[in-house]
Amino acid sequence: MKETDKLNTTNRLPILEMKQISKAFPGVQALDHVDFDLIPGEVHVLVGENGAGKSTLMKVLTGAYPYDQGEIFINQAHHPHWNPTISRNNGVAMVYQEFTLLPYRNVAENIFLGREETRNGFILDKSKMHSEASQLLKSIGVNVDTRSLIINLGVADQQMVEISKALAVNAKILVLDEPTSALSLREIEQLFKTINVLKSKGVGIIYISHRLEEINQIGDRVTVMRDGKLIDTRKISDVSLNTIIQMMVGREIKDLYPRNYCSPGETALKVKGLSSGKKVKKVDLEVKFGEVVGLSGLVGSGRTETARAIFGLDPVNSGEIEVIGKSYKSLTPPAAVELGIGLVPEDRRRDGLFPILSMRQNLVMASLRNLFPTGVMSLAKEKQVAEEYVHKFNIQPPSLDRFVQFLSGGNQQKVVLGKWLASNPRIIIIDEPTRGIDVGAKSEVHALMDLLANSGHAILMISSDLPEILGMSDRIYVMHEGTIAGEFAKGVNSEEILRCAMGVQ
Amino acid sequence: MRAKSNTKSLKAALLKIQPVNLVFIVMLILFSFSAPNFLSMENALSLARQGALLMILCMGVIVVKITGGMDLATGAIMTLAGMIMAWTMVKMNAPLPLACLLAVLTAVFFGFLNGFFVSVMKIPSFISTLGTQGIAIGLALGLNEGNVIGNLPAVTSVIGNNDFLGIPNPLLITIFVIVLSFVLLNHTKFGMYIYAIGGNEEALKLAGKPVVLYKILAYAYSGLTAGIAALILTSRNMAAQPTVGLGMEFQAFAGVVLGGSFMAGRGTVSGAVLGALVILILRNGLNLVGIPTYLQLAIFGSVLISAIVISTLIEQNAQKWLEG
Repeated sequence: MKETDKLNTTNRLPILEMKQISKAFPGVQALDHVDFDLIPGEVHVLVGENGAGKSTLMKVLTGAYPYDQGEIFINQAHHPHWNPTISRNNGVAMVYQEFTLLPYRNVAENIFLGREETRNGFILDKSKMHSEASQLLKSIGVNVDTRSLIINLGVADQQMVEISKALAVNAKILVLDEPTSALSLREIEQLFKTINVLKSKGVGIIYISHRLEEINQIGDRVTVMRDGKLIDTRKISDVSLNTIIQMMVGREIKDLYPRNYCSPGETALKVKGLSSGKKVKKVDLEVKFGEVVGLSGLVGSGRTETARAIFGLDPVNSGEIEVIGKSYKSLTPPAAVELGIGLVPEDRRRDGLFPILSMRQNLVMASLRNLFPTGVMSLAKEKQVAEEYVHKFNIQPPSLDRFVQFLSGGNQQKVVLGKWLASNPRIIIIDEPTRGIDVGAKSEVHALMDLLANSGHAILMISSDLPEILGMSDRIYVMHEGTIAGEFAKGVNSEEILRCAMGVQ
Repeated sequence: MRAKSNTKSLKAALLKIQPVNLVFIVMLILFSFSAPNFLSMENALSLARQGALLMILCMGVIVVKITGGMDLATGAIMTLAGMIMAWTMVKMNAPLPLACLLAVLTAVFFGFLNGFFVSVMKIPSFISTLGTQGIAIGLALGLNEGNVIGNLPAVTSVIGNNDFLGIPNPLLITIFVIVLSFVLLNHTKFGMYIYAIGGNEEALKLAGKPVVLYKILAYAYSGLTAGIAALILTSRNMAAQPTVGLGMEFQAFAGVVLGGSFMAGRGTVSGAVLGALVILILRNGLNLVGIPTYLQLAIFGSVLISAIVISTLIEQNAQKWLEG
């Protein structure tokens, strides 16, 4: 790289300044007085754990979320009213992780969607669109036929189309959200070449990534966020990867967690070489009775998919699942329930609850056969069982006939847990047990999990909440890109977990 | 190596043949053997006259289908528009052009209503178009207390029965509607956004386009085609019958789906034309062979479902087959 290519970030005026941006959601301060700026021609990397506030900040930038406080400046001009249209008109474009392309239309049509060229204002000028699209693709060093359908392109080329789409509207501020997560090494190189072309054209790029090893390769500056706060913005050349990781985690684990004693018994669940779909590759793990095992990793590392494969919700390609000493090639959900496995899913509303059925009906749903072996249901018995769990879990309000959609998140989670416990499972897989619930309900759920483990249940807990993983788990597995990247005993520090989850050795 | 890539491109070419083409060819062969007058010029012309209605309806339904919706009201809207046309001429002494205009406007208005319910009120298209179907049929029946309106002015006959340069007028109108739909879908922003709504509505929203408006326009266009079909229908029969469109929505839907539009965001005008032809020839051929009407319905249903099952299986296994 020539010396002149090196960006001098001090003597150019920022194209974007976000000052003291705050945004609250019910129960959580998602952004807390965050400052962020971007200089034309730089790659500004934005890092932070799951839930640190990166996506929220970007959604504020694109106008998808209104902000509560703060100011946004474009080229030193203050914009008091900020919304998606103003954002777009000021050259902000975002390339999402899930592409927003039309699968059965061609490349040119996708690039020009919404701003088609026409002759006499009515008939599309297809040849002009194709020639402009191919020029655009060439200008960023991409060789794709503008007449191919999106569905026939590889992920990398689809991403290039998505980037071209942003450039076609003259994007000056380009947000790339985890752009390399689906790419192979060679494709990543191509992407980086393209990014360098964009830099030389003066486009400012905000680059969100979990892959820290890429930061040195591509970034000029890095901003670290944690718990909705800005920790620091530094030049990449001035900071080491270790420092970045420390800034990401630097937080005390408070004494919130009840789990402090564990006496593991026999092996409850053992998974050997389990592969499923594209996201689970040769996973080995083991959970004993009386144990809470944490399954950590970044979003998209294959944790939920592993749980789904174990439970038989997704097809198993290879490997075996051993449940209480008996080995199976794969399970089906009814077989899993029969064997005493319960899965408490991540998205409670969608997968775990019947929102327009009553609490009573929800609580007995998973154990109808146990409760009513003859097939005839009795309201009195339903009530008795439901009453027991409402009391045990302190579900508020304790009215059995209330639709569960009217309960708070924490109480909904208790109903999901109660539903599974009523079916007497011995092995419980619980995905994100406390996501989106308030602190009080959180500690109640934790106390409940502690109680379950102490009474001999085996618990596999998937969580993106690092303190929860560290505080609740007796052992911890860390997943990275579909495989188990590491196993840790209780007492490990968060830095090691994060390093492992990000694939940094 | 060379041979391998040859078989691969042969396989790829084979995959491009839509099942509807095969069904079409099989039907042609079957009927030309089993019904001696199937291949006659006379039969071809009568097909063209009878087929106009279904073909025109399909041109509207395909647009709705591409957005991911379905239009169950199209037959009923055609019926109502026909009743309005006859009623204004017979009871109000309106001249033919005005009657035609009112009929088409009524149809477009009902299409607009469908679009409004689906996109603004967010009622699933199955439910809202079923609802307007009921309303349209009810009004059509009520207009003349359930009776046929006949005794239309002689001039009415021009639309459905006269020729222009030796080509039957209904055929000309059909060709016009087909070309119009083709141009709209393939060469205008409107068409692009219709495909975008079906393919990835979010993408169109992010591009800053009013999704709601284009959805309404899609249903309104389907209303327009139903209105045009009503003109031909009423003119050919020289009467308006309040139950005549019954079951047409099923045939139009089946034609469009047979033509390859069984997924939101997919479907072409040429496919829909072919699909409609399959239904028409099936109907015509089964009549010539002497299969009773009630069995014909069952056959339509079976053909429809088998075509979709085969297409889906092909789609799912195409990649494996290409590589293996």
